[in-house]
Amino acid sequence: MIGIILVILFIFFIFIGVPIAYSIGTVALIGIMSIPNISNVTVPMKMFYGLNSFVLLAVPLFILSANLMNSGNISKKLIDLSVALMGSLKGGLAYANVLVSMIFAGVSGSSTADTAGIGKILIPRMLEDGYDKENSVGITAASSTIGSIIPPSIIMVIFGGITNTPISDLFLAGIVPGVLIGLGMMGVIWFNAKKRNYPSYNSDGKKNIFKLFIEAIPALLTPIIIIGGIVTGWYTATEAAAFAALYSLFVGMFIYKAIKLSDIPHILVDTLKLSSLSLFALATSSALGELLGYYNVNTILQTFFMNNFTSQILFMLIIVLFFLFIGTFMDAIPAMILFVPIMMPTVASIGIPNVVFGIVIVITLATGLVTPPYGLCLLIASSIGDLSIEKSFKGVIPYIGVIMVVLLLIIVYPQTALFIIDIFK
Amino acid sequence: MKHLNYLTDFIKKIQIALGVSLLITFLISVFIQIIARYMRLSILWTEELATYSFAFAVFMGASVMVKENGHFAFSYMINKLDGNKKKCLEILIYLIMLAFVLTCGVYGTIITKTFWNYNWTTLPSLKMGYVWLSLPLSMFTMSLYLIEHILTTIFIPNSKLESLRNTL
Repeated sequence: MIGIILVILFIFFIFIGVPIAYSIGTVALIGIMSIPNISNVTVPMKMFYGLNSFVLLAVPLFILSANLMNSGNISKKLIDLSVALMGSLKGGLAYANVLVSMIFAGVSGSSTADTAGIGKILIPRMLEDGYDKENSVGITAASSTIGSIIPPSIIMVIFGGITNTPISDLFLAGIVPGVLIGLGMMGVIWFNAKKRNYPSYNSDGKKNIFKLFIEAIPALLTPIIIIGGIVTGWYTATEAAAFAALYSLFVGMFIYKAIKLSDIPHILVDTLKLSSLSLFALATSSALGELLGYYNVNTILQTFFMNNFTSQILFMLIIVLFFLFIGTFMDAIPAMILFVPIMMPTVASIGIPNVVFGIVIVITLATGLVTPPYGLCLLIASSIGDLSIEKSFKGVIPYIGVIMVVLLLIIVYPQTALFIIDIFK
Repeated sequence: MKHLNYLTDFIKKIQIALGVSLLITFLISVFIQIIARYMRLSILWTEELATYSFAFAVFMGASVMVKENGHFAFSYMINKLDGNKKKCLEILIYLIMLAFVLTCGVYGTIITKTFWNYNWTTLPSLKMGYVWLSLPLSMFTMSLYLIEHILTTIFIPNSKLESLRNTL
């Protein structure tokens, strides 16, 4: 009975507009208070312990590194190169938008940094060039989901931390799905470019491709440094994130000369604020996780699936639908902290490898970044393009279709994502 | 009201400074860890220092975001309402948040007192109390910010409140 009341309260809090982290925390507090043999100090204690993990340090460090890349002209150099490479095609700026997201994904672990950094430059340029707002915003938001799929990825680091799955395996397994999604999105653009007569971009970039490529080399080296270091075991994900931040600072300050010493405090404050939002939600989710643990939700779930659905594919499809729903109103990090631990016993019983489960969850939650009402990338892109959430979402829908096709492919043929791990190891 | 605004602005500045200093602390700790490993030096305290600084920084940042009304929320209902109805809903939201942070603040104080004299594992000269202090500090400052928001919502006329919301 108390469980039903708590679920109703949670929905009520979210619906009236209590911030998500506080809705989760308040429900956890009421739930723990209703159990006589658990002390109420458990709630703040679990919130603290939820953050007491070295792996989680990667979150602010990747955000810091992305902020430094945006301030240090690294994003701009990558955009210039992508526009020079794709601009002359029909729909060139739209293709460049996807290509730069794919490259940026290999540099940064954050999709929101991708939307903010690329959107600020490319959305106005696309509008100027005659694209409609719906498509400019749609393609920018949708392509930035690749940021969480192609390594490095903050969501993968968190999944690896919760489930003890090697982060290097998750990173490797993200490469092919990320590239396939990018290519699929380009396919949608090709179709739209013909149907809607998208313009090609007039620039003299093509003549300067070599020069732009040379200029972009320091930025293009970042994925090799980060992913290469983790895969070869030189450093952990957290250390790689710290190294990426230092490298971005070096490139931004000394090579591109775009970051001044006086900019750094502002970048650090932004990083602190932005990362504390998801991480505070993670802290309150840890407290709610304790409550779910008390009620043995993991065992109930395991028994339910073992008695009803032992098919791996069916289980995965249910998980995708569940996380798509959760992702519409919850950030990826708290959603994983809350639900992944209770699903892991079932995942093990059904025999799904952790890496496959992880990639499916990561792609699904990345889709949540562009689904309303709470899709951060969609919100950022729509505010840059000054377009309503409804219209922005309309622009995103065809690209979500591409993500779903790739997701189905991985569920049915996990080797699509896994074969690359065998090559590297 | 003015005095409360000055006070909360001042506390916010201190929290930002503290949060950023801790961010730098854990960044440096991670680098020391990498360097020490390659030089085959045994430095054990870096991970503990980095993790505790990180947790403290997150609580400070989360607190600042309460002052700036920046925590992610579903704004459908708020956007549908206007005038006094909107004010009432905002006050209800602040009160729910206030109840949560005040309760956590009280229990956080109990935890801090209980563990005050415990020592860090790798740096025994440091007390665990300093680390646990992050809980009451963040929860009580959040309470103060929420009280400020409630009073602002009650006493500032609707027309001024709208422009104030837009600046946040």
